[in-house]
Amino acid sequence: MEQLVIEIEGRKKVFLPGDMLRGRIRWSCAETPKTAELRLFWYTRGKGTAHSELVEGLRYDRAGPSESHNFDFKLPLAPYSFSGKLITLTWALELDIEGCSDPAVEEFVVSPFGKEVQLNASL
Amino acid sequence: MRAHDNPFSTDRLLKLRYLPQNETWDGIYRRLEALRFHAAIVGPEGSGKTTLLEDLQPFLRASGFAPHLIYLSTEARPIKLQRLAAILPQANPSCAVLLDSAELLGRAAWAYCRWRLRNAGGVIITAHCAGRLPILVKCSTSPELLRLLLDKLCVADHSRACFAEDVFLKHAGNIRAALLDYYDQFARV
Repeated sequence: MEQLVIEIEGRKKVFLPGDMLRGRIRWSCAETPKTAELRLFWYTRGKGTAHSELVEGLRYDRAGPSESHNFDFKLPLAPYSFSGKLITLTWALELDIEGCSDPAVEEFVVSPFGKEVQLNASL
Repeated sequence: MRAHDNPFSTDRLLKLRYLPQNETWDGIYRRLEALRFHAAIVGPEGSGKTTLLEDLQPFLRASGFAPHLIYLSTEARPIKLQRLAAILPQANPSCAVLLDSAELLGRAAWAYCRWRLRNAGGVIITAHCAGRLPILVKCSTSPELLRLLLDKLCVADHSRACFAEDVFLKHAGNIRAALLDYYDQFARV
């Protein structure tokens, strides 16, 4: 069975801006992947046009069908994770192995307050 | 309700695909072939024209075309010939050009498009009114269609879905505007 796994060190879900984000990825695919990439990015959801930004990516060249790797990223100072009625900004890691199953995504919070910032937008 | 929990958030709405009304996909494909892949999708705002245009791409690929989709609504207006020259592809018989919002092209710009795309294997446009190319589909909406889309969005709150007809009428049948109205309703919860 094909499997893509992202494990964040200590199963942490909340990070301070500028923190190190460490962990391990592993994949097990039926065939040799065409490409393998781990991406650190943020994206927005809500009303209107969605935005996303790739902050950093790690490519694994000549990847085999089953591998595991450690990773570490230094998180930027902004933007913070936030959520309101009109828009939510979410940070995530995505493990994308082309030629394998759907990408694995692990979401987490980047905030100086220990939780995502709550906006009180009025409509 | 927070934005990422809202069932009417943009990412969820974009997953809704075109639902043929009173016809089948096969019927649309056959008509497109009969029109030699030169056709128009017409209908009012928020009736699914762009969604249908996007959803024709897999069929065009399967028919041996390389689809080239251009959203004219993202261009600065008025759309000048110089800009058109830059965004239109070098058309050849294996290329199918899909022009969304062709009503934004003035008479001269449309004439230029026809000339530039004279060798294209396919030209399919969306427009509010008929007249530029033979009609492939006249998009229309109904309260039933809105209800169907609410079901697809898994809106379990039937007390709100019951008002689909009111929301539909409020926005004069513009399904996009109706769904954004639902977004606001759910955001207030």
